[in-house]
This record gives sequence, C-alpha cells and structure tokens, in this order.
Amino acid sequence: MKSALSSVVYVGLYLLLALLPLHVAMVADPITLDRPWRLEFAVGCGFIAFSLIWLEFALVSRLRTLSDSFGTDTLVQFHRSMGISASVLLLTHVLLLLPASGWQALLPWRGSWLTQSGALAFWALVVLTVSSLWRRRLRVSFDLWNRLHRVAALVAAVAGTLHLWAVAGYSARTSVRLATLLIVALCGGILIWYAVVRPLHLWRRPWRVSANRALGADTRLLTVRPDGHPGYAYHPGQFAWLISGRTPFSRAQHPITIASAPAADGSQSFAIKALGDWSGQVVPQLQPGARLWVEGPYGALTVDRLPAQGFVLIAGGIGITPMLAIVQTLAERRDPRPCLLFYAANDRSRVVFAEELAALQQRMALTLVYVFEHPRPGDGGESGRITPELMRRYLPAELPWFQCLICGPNPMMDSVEQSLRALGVAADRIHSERFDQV
Amino acid sequence: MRPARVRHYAHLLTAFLLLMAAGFAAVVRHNIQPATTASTAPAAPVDGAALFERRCARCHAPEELSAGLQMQFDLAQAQQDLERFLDQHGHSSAAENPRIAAWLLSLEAPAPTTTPP
Repeated sequence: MKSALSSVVYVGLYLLLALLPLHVAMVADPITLDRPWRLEFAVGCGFIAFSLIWLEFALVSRLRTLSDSFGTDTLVQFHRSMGISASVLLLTHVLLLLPASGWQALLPWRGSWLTQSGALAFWALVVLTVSSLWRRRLRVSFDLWNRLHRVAALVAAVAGTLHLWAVAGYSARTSVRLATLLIVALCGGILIWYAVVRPLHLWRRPWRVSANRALGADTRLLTVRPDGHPGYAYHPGQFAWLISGRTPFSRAQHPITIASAPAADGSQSFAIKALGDWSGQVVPQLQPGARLWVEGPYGALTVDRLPAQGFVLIAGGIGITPMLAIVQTLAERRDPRPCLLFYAANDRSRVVFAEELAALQQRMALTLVYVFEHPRPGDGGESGRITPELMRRYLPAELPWFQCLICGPNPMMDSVEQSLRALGVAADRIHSERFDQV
Repeated sequence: MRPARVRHYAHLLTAFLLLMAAGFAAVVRHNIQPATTASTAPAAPVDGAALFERRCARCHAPEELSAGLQMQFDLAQAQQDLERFLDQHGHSSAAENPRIAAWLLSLEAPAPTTTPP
C-alpha cells in the first residue's frame, strides 16, 4: 500500500516536472505576436523535450526510493521509452521549424549560437536513440555504447538548455528561466550525486573476495564479505551492483542477483554466468582477498513485501539465483508456506545449485520441478518448455492466493507471464525483474 | 512489470504530453488580442514599405523575403539575420535595414499587440 502510494506520488512528480516549464511559459506568455499555431506547438514540444531529457538522468541514477517503488527494470524500461518520447518531441520541434529556418539550421557549426546549440542537442539525441535501439544490429559493444550514451546524454542536456536559454522568446522571462533552472538543478544534482558523491561514499566501504569457485554450466559462485564495515541488510531476491575496477568510479559495474540468504557476518554470494567480457574473463581472475565494491540492495523481486499463502517461483537458467536466495531464506526462517519452484534449463548439465535445492527440499515445503528443453537420457524432470498445461499439473488449488515470481531470459519470462495470465493469475500477483534491456 | 506494459504506459504519456503541447499552442494564441487597426500601427513599417519599394522591389517580391520569417523561433534573431542579409546583399543603408526588416516581419503577422493582464 505504501509502495503503491509512493508510486502515485512519483508519477505525479514526474508529470509536474515534465510540464513545469511549459506551464510557466504559458502563464508568463511574453509573446505578443499572433504567430502560427504550428510554431507555438513546436515551442511547446521543445519545452517538454527539454524537461524529459533532464528527467532521464533521475530515472537511472540508482535512487533506492525509486527502485523500491517500481523495480529497477521498470525504471530502465521507462527511461528507454521516455528517451524515445523525448526524441519524438524534439523531432516534431525541429520538423515544424525547419521549413522556415532551412536545413542549414541542422549544421552545428553554422548559424547563430541559438541554432548551433539546438543542432548539437538534436544530433546528440539522434546518436542516443539510434545507438540504444539498434546497438546489437550496429554491432556496437556494450562498453562503447555505455561511453557514447553518457557523453551524448550530457551533450543533449547541456546544449538543449543553452538553446532554450538563448531564445529571446518565452525563456526571456525570469519565471520561465527559473522553472528551467529548477529542472536543471534538481536533475543535475541527482546526476552529481550519482557520478561523484555515491562513488566517494562507496570508496570508504570496500569488500573482499572470500571465495570464488566454479559451479559448472559456465557459472561461478563469488562470495564476498564487507571489509571494515557491517555491509547492509537486504531482502532475498534483491540484487547489487558489483564494481570490480580500481575505484568505485570504474565503469565496470554489473547488476548481479544476491544468491544467498542474509548472513550474520554480512557475506553475500553471487552466481555469475560467463556471458560477456567481464563475467567471462574478469570474474574468474578475482582471487580471494581481491578488493571490490558492492552497492545495494536494489530491486523489488522479493517475497518479503508480498502477502501470500504460498509462492510459485519460475526460474530459467541463471535466473535461479534470486529463487535460491528466496527459498534459503524461507527455510532459515522456518516459514511453513509452500513453495513450488519450476527450474527450466537446456538439460541437467546446465543446472546449478542442484545439491543445495535437494537439501532445501528436506527442510521446507518446497516442490521442485525441473523442465529440460533438450533433455538427455536419464535427466528426468519434465521435457519441453514451461507451458500452461505443464504448470496446471503442479499448481495448487490455492493459486489465487499465491504470489508468482519469474526470473530468466526475456522470451521465457514473456511466455510464462502469458501462461500464468491464461491460468487466471491476476497481473498484480505476477512479479519479474529483467536486466538485459539494451 | 512487463516491458510491453511499460511501453504502453509510456506511449499514453507521450500522447498526453503532445496534447499538452497542442493545448499550450491553443492557449497562447487565444491570449493574443485582435490586431490593432492600421491607424494605430507604428510608423516604421510604412516607412519600411517605402524603403523596400525603393531599394529591393526591382528584383524581389516582399513575400519572397518575408515568407516563413514568422516561423523563426526567435523573432529578434530573425530580424538580425535579415538585417545582416540586407547589409551584405542589398542596396539599402545600415540605417534603412532595420526598418525594411521590421516591415517584412510585419507582413506575416499583425502589428504587435499587448497581452491581457
């Protein structure tokens, strides 16, 4: 309830800030000429695009209060969608003004300061949008995209602000300037907190690798403990950012789900599958004693905030990690509520934590169903994919009072969500978290 | 929350924001008072018309230079650009250029009026 209320407040605040400069411009209204409607519409689109671009920073600045209310994956997806919206608004702004100003106005090195800054903001947003929508198709590495994204976002925001302030129209009014300054100060402040204050705070709270072992299936279990501080409390199913560079300012920051129940000494374990340069090359080299930083907890995929008579947990591949943390925690708490865990993998050789899960079945009301897409002889379990028919054979009669949590590859999560909806599970009882969005 | 649902909400929000921009355009245009009559218009545009006739009309129609001027985002900048163009291209003097530019700007819109309090 509290989360729902805070979500409504944040959505209202977002709308208020997105429309603030436009509203103040409308009230101030210093333009006394009867200009064409399309020109005023273009101005309106420009004002809103300005606000949206700055608000984009706030969405992905790891503000814990936002992450708790919406979930980090929802914020990232919303950031992506609203980035496209800002581009649409800016494109509308440009297209409506271009017939009068001529296409030369799109050249950042020509024209007045006004047109130069506007053109720079426009092209920076084009780079942001194209590189984000088609990164894989353009074969741009994540690291290069990450650098490009940060620089282009900053250029778009700063150049857009200079452009807006250079116009001797609505923004000549002090009230309009103050409204735009408020947006810049608020979102710029969040950006400075994210880029400077937060890493400095982390620097004083290092962690050390205490174990790093292979689990099989290209997966390693990295265990870390806080060094000189107590660590932090978290709920099972949440994730943390692992920063393995020389300082917390390093760009090598990766969101990894905590695969262990909260421990007394603050230790945490992370199951990391070799999927890229960092997970495949850097993680195996992390020796016991190595220093890194762990920033968390984040994420809303946890049973602790969900009232339920039981849980249906559905994991695909490495998506088993939050589910393991959840069932471990429920077992340690001696929680009597039943858990039904579907664990999908290609075959049994791709399964991790099989022994831990088998042991947990002895300690709690856990029903474990393996689903192998391409089973080998002797693998056991169910064959194929997690379909409504398969789930129906295991789901309890009390399903309407259960909460369903899903973690795995995006296509699997889409399919399982649809299956659960088809089985009559209410949308607000289906929870998931997605990391792979760019 | 599924990405499709987030996208759906974002699309609705984008439509709402576009609607707000359209509403803004409608309101600010509604706030403009009707144009003042010709007798109360400032003298400069009339002066500019005569100067245009004398200096430019042999080669250019007024519409040719004024078309789209009102679409310029920044009117002051538009006038400056036009004066610079006249300075480099035209046969008028530096003192005459602002008056010609002001007259050309006035062709696309009525003379400036005041907004209601």
